[in-house]
Amino acid sequence: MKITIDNYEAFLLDDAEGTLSQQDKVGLDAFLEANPSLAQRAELYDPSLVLIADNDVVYEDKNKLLRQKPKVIYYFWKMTAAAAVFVGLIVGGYFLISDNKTSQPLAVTPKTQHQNIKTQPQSIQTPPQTIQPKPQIKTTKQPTAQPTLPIEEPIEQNIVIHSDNLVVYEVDNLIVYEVEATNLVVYEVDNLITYDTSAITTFIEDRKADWHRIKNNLSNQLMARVAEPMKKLFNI
Amino acid sequence: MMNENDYNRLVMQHSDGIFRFLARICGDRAKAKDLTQDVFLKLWECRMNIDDNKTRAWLFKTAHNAFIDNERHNKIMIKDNDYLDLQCQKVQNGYSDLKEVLSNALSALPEMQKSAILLRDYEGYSYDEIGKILSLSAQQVKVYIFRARTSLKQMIGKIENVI
Repeated sequence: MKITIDNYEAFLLDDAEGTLSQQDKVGLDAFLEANPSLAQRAELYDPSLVLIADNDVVYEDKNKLLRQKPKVIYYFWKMTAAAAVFVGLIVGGYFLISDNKTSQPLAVTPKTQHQNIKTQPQSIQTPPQTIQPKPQIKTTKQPTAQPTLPIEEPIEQNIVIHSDNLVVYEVDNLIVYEVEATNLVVYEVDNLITYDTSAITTFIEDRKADWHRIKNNLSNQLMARVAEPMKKLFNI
Repeated sequence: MMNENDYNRLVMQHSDGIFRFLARICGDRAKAKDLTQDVFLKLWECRMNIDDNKTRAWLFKTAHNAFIDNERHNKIMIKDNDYLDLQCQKVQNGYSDLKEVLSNALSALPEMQKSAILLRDYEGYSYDEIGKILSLSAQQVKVYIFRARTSLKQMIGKIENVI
């Protein structure tokens, strides 16, 4: 490598440390001879001048730099699991209590006269618990069969609520609201609600006919969900 | 790949050396403390991309760069000769403590000279290794170290070893 004014100090350093090759030594001597002012600089270099680290100088906050992430995760995992179990117990307990309350029938009274229903459809929104039972018995086409209908028939296991204007049937998860004044039937299954505005007068009284009419009117999706409770309701 | 244990081991092994290096080139322990923290924070952030065998060199390179960035940020870059003139004047005005003399003489050096001589004397790196840390050729490193030693000698006089 050619010795220049920009790199001659590197050669001086190698020379001072005894690592300069013979060829470079010749080149360096020639360079310094040609540049006597730079040769004086070589005399300033003292290889014995060495800095020694002061080992008393230490970084005192090492612990702040250390990572302890796994322990933190484990700690939060335990807390989260405990919280989840606690919430699960609360929610589970609530539903157990709710199930016990709702499984008690509000009334099991067959309806006898549709003609008495008079109120407005807004009352559909009223929860079944608020409906006042009416001591009337719902009948089939044959009034003589009326005394034998309840209790033993499939329908007698269902909840039938009626007020002046509303009859509600509940079979398994299906709830049917029958509002005669507005010619409206509401079906609710698993929070899914649909309305049937076709004639209501034949409802229950001709169960098979009703079943076929409803089957034709309701969507396949809804039918798939209501088929079984419907069959129970219509005693098919 | 570096995990928490590897990282913690590196903190215990090298934080003192990094701090000493930064304290020397900064001349300010509080600033060196902050920069050391930054260096190890960056080590954790970049742990996926660091070769296990080159971690120590990476730490010193990052420390040097952190110092340069900090200096630029603070806009206190002063020309080399200004440093020398200022510090020579201080030395001539008289310091009785050798350690203080050396500290002031060292702080008077330009940044590259300071980093190069500290890496050589404090950490024992070869010229090639220092070149990789400071992004210089080995030839340039030698030039800087030669200039650093002659400047120190000019400022503090002839001594055998300086602590």
